[in-house]
Amino acid sequence: MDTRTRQKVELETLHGLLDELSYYQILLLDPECGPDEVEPAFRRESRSRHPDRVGRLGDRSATRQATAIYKLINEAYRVLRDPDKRRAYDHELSRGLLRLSEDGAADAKSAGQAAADPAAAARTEKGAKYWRLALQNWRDEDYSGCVMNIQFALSFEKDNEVFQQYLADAKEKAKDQKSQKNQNPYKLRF
Amino acid sequence: MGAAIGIDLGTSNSCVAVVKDGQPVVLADAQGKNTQPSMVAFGHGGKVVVGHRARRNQIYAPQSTVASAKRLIGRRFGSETVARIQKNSGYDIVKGPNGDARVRVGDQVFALPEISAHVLRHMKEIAEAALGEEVDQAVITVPAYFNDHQRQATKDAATIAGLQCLRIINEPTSAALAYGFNKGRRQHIVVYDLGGGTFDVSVLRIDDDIFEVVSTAGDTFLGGDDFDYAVAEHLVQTFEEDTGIHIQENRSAKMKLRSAAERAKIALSGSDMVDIEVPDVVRNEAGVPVGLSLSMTRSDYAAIVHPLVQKTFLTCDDALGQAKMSARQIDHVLMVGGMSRSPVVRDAVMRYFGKEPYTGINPDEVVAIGAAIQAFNLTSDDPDAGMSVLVDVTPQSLGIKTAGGFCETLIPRNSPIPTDSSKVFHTAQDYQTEVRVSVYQGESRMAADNELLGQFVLDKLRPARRGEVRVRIAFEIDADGLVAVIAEDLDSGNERDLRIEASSGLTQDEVEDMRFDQLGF
Repeated sequence: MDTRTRQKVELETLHGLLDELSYYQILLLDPECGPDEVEPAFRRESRSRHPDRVGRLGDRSATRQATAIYKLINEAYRVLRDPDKRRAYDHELSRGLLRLSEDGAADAKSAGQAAADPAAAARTEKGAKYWRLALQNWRDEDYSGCVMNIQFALSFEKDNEVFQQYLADAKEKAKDQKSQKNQNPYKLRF
Repeated sequence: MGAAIGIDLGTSNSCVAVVKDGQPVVLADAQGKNTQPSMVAFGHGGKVVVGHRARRNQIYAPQSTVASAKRLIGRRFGSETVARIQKNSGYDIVKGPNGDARVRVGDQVFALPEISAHVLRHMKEIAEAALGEEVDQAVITVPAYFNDHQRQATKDAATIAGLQCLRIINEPTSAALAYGFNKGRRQHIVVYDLGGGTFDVSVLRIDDDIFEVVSTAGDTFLGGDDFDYAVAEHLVQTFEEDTGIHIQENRSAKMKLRSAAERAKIALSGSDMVDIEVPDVVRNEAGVPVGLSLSMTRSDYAAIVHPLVQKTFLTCDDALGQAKMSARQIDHVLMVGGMSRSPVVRDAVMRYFGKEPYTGINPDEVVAIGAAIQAFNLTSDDPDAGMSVLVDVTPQSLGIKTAGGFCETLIPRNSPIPTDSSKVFHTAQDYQTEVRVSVYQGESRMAADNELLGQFVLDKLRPARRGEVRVRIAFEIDADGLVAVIAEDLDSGNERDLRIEASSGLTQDEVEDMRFDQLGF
């Protein structure tokens, strides 16, 4: 096999394995390695795996594969070089997760500002009255009450899309709540 | 496929180079000039001239000659910088349809990428004439502090000019590449770049092939031109003191002294003393020409420009401070830009850093040479060659605005690129049905202090209690440092590709419409 073909086969194989590799594996590191071993490993892998290397093969799909591989190398480096992130990752890895999920960290955060106020969705006075009650029900997690009030509101504004959307959601919530209630053993004591 | 060149698209001057037979060479125009003024002049009947011819045009038609387009490219109309440039330029700056700054020449309005495209095409044609073959690919350099808008606009300019932009690289990185600093152990390098109109200083950390721009600082209104003004001002004062004739208001007299000042500055780079003779500065009341004659030594010159040189060191202090380093900890200093020829500046730099600066490669050409080397590395088709790989990093942190006006970083600065990162965000309000995503670039904790790259609205979210609906926002930075954002509503699985449209001031369609090859240029 010539160099070019060998490179392409190697690239395809590695790309196919990406979802199964841990950060340590993509950087060819021992999970027990010291913090000073991470950067040299990143440099070594950069030199052989940077997409510019394979870009010379002049093949778009090869470049795409190489870019995906290199992004994982960068992600691994970003996590493993930071002691806090590495600790968090080692914990995830022990639970069988190969990539550090940032979900948890964002719990308290929110994207953007408040959107359009749903209270403004009503277009008639009577519709607005029941709509306000429905929203209060929703906040109180009284979903069957919410379904009832949205249905009242809809009788005044038949084609209000926001109402319809909420009605579908509230019905589902009410159903969930009902099945949960039935499953809840503590409820049987009443 | 044609040849691949490196282009230093400068504020005042541009330069083009190529690697030929393994050696980087600068390509000169038919007159043998290695650099071209980055100027574009629009004549009658849509005739466009670029470079040295445009510079000649500027003298008699400043309102139809656009200079220093690089200061404006990728900037929003109404920003402080744009207002400042408007005051000093002969042409009008107007607001473009996408909020970008554009220039008006006569009754025509041009987007900045169009102006830069004329300069790039001029460089492409010079390269084609010098090489005798077609050129269709280029690596183009930009200042390290250029944000996504400015990089995208530069790339758009290449597309308009009919060049495939192989890569956008940072100017200081390019200079270091030209000096071959991509070999060896970890070292810290300062690139001191004093050009015609701007001053930039960058601290680089180079470890084999990995180039990190540790810090960068600059003064976009300090350059060789200011040195000329300082000397000219000295000549005006000397003349007024000697003769008692006031010429502060006399434009033509000041122009004569200005050009004498520039010649004196250049002469003092080579000799210790220069005689300045201007026989006919102005005519006195009797109509007799009154001239100026004086000799200026290098130390006179040093005293005149001392405040300007000191000003560059304040900027150096800033860059070193950001890098948390002292001048003595720097391993090497590279000097770039025309002013590094001046022994006065060179000596001052040597004293400041305590070491001899590198000036071996022509300071006007070194950035283009680095770009040519990178262009060669990216296009060489020998997979066995031990070519170095340039690993660049993001110049600025990338994040989005969260509740309270804070900036939540998703990709920290100095992350190697290409890279991506994603984070899941929760709705902040009950029954929130849309989320506004504001993408920022910069280092401040407060979003408002950073550069706004774009805003997107992710709507039609399921109305639910706050925190229930989750949105995954993924950022991607490609090898050119350009940003793409993808938002995914995890509730519905709807994915939206939030390309930062018109971040350069132009949409993809507009760029296509402007392409010179379609306009028949």
